[in-house]
Amino acid sequence: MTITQFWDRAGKWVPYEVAHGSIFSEDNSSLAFYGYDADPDQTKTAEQIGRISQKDADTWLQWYKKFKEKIEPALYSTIYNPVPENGFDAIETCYSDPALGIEPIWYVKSPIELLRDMFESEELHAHFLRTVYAWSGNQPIDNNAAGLSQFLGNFLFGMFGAVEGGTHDWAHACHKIFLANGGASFTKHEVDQVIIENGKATGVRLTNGSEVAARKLVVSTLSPEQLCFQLVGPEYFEPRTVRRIKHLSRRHIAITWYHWAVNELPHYTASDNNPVMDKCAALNLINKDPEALIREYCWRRLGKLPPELSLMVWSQSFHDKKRAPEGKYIMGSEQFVLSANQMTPLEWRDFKKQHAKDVIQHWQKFAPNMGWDNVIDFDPLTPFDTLRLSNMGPTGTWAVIDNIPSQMGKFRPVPELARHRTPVKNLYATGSAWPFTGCAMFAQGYNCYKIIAEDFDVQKPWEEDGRPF
Amino acid sequence: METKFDIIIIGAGPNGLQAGAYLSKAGEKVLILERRYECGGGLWTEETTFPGFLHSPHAVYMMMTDFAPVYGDLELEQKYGVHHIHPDLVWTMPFEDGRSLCIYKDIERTCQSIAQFSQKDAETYREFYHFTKKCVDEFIGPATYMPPAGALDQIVLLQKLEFGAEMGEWSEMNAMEIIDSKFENDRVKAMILYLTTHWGVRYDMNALGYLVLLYFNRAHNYQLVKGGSHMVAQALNKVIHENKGLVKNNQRIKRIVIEGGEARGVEMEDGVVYEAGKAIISTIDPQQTFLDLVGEENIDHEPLVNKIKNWDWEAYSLLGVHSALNERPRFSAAAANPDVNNAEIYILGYESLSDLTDYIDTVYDGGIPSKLGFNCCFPSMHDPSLAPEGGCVSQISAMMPHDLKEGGIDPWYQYKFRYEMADKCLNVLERYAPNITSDKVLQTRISTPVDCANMFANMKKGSIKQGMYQPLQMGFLRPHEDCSRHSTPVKNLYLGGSSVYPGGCVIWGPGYLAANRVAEDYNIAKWWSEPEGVRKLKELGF
Repeated sequence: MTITQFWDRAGKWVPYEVAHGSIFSEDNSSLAFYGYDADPDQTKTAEQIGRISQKDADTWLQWYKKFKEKIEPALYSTIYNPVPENGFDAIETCYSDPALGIEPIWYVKSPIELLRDMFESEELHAHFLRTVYAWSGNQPIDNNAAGLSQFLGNFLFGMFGAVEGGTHDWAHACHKIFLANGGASFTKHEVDQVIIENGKATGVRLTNGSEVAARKLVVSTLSPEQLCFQLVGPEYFEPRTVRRIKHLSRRHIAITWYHWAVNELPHYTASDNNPVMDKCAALNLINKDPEALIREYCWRRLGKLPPELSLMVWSQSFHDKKRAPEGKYIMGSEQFVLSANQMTPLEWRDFKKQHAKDVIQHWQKFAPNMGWDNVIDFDPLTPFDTLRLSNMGPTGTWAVIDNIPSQMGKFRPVPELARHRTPVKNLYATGSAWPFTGCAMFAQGYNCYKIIAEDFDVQKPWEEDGRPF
Repeated sequence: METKFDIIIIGAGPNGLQAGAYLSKAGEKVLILERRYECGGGLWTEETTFPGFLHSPHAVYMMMTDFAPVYGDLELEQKYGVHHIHPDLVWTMPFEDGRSLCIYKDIERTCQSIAQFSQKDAETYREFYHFTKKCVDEFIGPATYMPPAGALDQIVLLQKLEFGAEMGEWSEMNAMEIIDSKFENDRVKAMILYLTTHWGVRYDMNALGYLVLLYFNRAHNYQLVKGGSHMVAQALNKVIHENKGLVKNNQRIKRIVIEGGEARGVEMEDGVVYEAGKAIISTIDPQQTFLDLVGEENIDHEPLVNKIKNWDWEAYSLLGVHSALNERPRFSAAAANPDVNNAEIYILGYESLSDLTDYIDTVYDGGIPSKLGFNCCFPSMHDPSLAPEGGCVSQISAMMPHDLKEGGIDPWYQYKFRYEMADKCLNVLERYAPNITSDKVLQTRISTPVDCANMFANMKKGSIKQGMYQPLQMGFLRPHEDCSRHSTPVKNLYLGGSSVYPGGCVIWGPGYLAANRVAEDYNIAKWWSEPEGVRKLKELGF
């Protein structure tokens, strides 16, 4: 597949002008971050932060410069290459650069601790905590060593945007290229097991008993648990690896994504003072007190639904008119909740309806026109609905396994499987539970192919001139 | 970016995909431009409610599987795993008094069911069924896959068929006249009227009688696609890409490029121009094709332009209520006939002929009937792969206006109104299947006539067939006598959607015939052979 072939078939990536922001419930104050395409030197963003704290605005600009000059190139190199067999990856090497000024204690600080080290205003703390929470749902408190990665993760939200026509368009583009090159795909054909002969993968057996032979290799994109306990069998793995896989963390990224069809876009009262808020792409409607998100997280850890919402909302309709009929709009809302297996199907049924009411009630406090009269329809996606994809079961974790430090990068899902090879010869594994992190970033499959290319004589398009990775 | 193709097809619905599959397999470089994010148009299957419940919210039933050449030609079953399900009891119409009328695959069992209401009607049904079977097997079925004959030619040619004269007489009549003249029992009449008109044949409109014969016969042949309707679209999509064709989704077309009176390409809203070395096939509706994309200034044919400007859209569309149930329905009428619990399609809410005609009259007038009725089905009862164990996929499909007399389209954009309608429909279902109380409904998704129009750009006003079935828009007049044989007065421009002969409802005719016509006009070697039924009609002079 060449880059040209892909873009010939795929919708454009459209970056948002105003990438993310927050409106705070206490006093309706607000804060917006412009996307890097619209504000390449981040001066507009600095003005926004300066409304709250000039010192924090200066800090943001310093770190943005470091991000663009040093961190971003290292990050891409890390993401689009297989993890190293030994030693440091590009981002770890980058962190050790004294010019970045990373203090040793930051490696072990929690997200809230690190933010309090860097910024003086609570608004910044609350905003960054909630924004990057969307990626991980990790605990904001305690020493989880997640502070640095989560803080730097915020910079990726400056590239926030949407696939024109919807993300499924990119899946189509890959599939079309696959078919055109002689591939064959079959939906509703569930694989039960990998066929292993003399320690080598030779094909797959379907749940209906039929078998498909593989002349060269088999690739699994299921979860590590499915790989170990269903497709292959734990006897092929070292006992410690089996224990590690069995106890992978997969409960943090339990979210509702409700998709709303609306008659008009919400008009936020905060935009009376800060007009940019009405076109903010990923908008947090939250409490200024960062402890509110901490309380939410604690409720979830207790297996209870949080009584207060920490809502993020967005609209792809800002930049993509193809997403809705003329004069109508789509919106999304996100709230972290319980894992799929923490409630029964009937409880999820009731929750879905109640949550819709709660979201609208919360939203309307910030945008009075966002009442039920404005709603055409909604699609309630919860962790329970995520079970449609079996690799996200049984918890409904969106990234298959959590994005916690011990399951990130070269440790993902466990160090001994991170380079996509498995204990079974000719069987490879990839998917969202593989490096760098659980996100649709076209890295996991690409890196798996790179490893396959080391073992088999296949094309290596990354060796073409001008390609960085 | 590749911009030069042999053939460009507008629309990746069933007809566009079908034409693309035939022509790409013939070695042509085919580009299909589709507005939606997904291929298949009405062949659409998704988990729109609860996890694991697969709904096909638009096209569900395949009526012409026994005639359509596409299945055999493209080996859709053998190579691509397209399978159909044909339950023994195809249609049932339960009544509140516990009785029911049943249309089985088997004609004798059907007649036994009708005999419970009228022995005479049962005998008439048998006789009429065998007559319509002859008509469909030997003429209407094969003729669906050959270009239309002119009206006069057809009358002459029909005389060559043993049943032709009688078929011609029935064809001149309307549905109500036919049913009134043949049947006596009110409920039998109600069911047959529903079966023969619910796709949009106005019951008092003359000269559509041949459709009544067709739908009467086809009532025994409604089939479900295993795994959901989208499985057929998937298969066709694979054929196209395996043969180096390309389908582009999320496309917005600005115009068909006309140079020297010939269609040469397609210009997109973003300025990209795709060139067509040979032909452009439009499978969208005639108003978009001729008026919006070609432009009347490029059509040297005033009667065609006038007819397209005055194109009649259907008077009603469909309201879909799609639910995930946590148990299958158990109908009261099953106490007398247990088969009722296993039917493919149910007609509910009409207790008499006047219930049905009142409903239709209200809908044609833009109103919402006070007494609701509809057809519904539960595909997972026949295809367990469509729902988790114990669960049941439910689909209600009610005739409903796009433009409401009170409020126009605005009420369809109100959440409260939409789901009040859904609840009313589910209440009707509960009346006939008392176990389907609200606590058995896990989740419901509604699809309104306006939703139809928004999802599928060619379904203007929620039109499910790209234009009303009325005598001046049927046969060789669909959409106009100078383009019903799939070429148009604009050189290189062809029509292949539901608005061209033979019409809509996923019968696999327009796309097939458009591909044939393009192949003939550009000397493209046909890798497929002519269907046997078509060959026989041609031998008779058709």
